[in-house]
Amino acid sequence: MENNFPIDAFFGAGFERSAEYTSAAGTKSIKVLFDEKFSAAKLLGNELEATNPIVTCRTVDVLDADHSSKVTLKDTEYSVIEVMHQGDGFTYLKLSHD
Amino acid sequence: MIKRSEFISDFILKLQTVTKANGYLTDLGTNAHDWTEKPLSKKEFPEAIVKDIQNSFSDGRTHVQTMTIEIVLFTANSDQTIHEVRKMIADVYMMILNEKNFFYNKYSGIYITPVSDEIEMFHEDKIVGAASVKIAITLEDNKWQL
Repeated sequence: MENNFPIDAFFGAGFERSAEYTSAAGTKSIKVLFDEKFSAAKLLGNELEATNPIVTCRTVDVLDADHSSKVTLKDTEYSVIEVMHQGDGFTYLKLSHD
Repeated sequence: MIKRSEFISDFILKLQTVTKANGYLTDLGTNAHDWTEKPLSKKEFPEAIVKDIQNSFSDGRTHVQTMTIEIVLFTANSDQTIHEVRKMIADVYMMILNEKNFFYNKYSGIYITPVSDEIEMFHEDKIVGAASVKIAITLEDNKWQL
């Protein structure tokens, strides 16, 4: 359900980045908020340096996102590995370099 | 050097021979080393860490000890990662088979046997695969001497 947040304002405050979003419908330019925090993962008890790249998008821009979608930021192409519609007009796309 | 350390060093030296150039399926030997707890970096993969995680004794009257070695393997090779992990496991077993005479000749009464292997996969910024291969090393020695 959409809330009354001025969602578009989040993507025009100066922190947004332009990205190319590719889905089955084709490629289009969208505005996203990009974040890639350090993520200390454990693999078989061993600590692994990793990051957790994620973009926040307007849901209306990525309604058809699935695990075959791509997001390109600058010259880096990411695969979408998780789609998290928040139900409030925002969608988080978890990304991977692979 | 105590026998336990000597064996681990020899094992690592043999593990370091595991390269495609030597006829193996992977290059896990290019970064095979002793036990550290430094956080792993994908830039250093493939990586193999040798850990002597446990030592047990058959009973109090004999001089037989069984050391469990865990070889922990890591790789990040995109959608081929899981296949690479399976190859790395196979390479560890193959190395032991190829080098068994070296170990049998150097360590009197040694017996090497596979215990188990286990795979774990991880996917955030990259696909990373890990495997744990456990080997039991049975050695005869003087009582109280490791």
